Amino acid sequence: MDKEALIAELKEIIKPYVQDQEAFGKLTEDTHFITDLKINSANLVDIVLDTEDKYNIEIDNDSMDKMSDVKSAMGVIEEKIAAKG
Amino acid sequence: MIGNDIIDLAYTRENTNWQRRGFLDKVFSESEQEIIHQSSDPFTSIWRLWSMKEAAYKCYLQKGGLPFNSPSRIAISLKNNLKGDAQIEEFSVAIVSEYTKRYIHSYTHSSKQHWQINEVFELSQSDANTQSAETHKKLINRIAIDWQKEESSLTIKKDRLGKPFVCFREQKLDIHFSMSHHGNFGAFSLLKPVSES
Repeated sequence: MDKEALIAELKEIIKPYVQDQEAFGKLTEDTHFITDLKINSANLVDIVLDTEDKYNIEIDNDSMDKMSDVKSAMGVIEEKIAAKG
Repeated sequence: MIGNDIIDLAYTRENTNWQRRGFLDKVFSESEQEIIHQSSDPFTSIWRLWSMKEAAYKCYLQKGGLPFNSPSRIAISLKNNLKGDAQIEEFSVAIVSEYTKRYIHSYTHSSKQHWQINEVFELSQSDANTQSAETHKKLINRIAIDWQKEESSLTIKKDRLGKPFVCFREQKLDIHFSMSHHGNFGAFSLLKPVSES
């Protein structure tokens, strides 16, 4: 999947949980879920579950720990999709 | 070192669906899920355990622990209705939870050389940045009173890792604290050395 499309899809997933709309408007690959978007940790679990549902993948603890910003979340999604084959 | 976490129960009822598939498995171990299932009030048990994990995690970060996202890495065991322990790898800490019908406030309890001040207050708005500013103001107000410092010269800054600290006239003060806000509630916990009082 190309990068722009993946960012757009990821934005749709995280949108309902964003507490800082201004930071969301300026979202880049370096945007951090907690420090920039002020997403609370319960909603971070929701994002992981929504991502699992959307791509039909399983995100284990180690991968969840990597999902701190847009770039790393994209990395996890790409890796898990690739692993499905 | 200290950590705290506040849960606005009405807010969390609205905003977090713990009954969605996979949620409990992502957050809680088997033994923690056992506590939840055996509880007469699973909702309160879930958010009590959750707030204990958050409080422990904040304390762990203050001790120099590395950040992670996965709440199931924090293991909770309960002693009674108020007290319990949290464990993250080698790190362990005692946690106290206070609850009312409207909120749960959990905080670490780790030092005998300090007085611990725990405060819960209502916030006026639910915008995250405003709430954070209001919580800062409450903390500064309390430090001004207890440390007898001029309130207008106290500020809260953040280091490059995002960890907050208190300054008096641009000088960093050695005060351990933790802040939290959620829904309509804010809270902080603060340690004051016994010798200073």
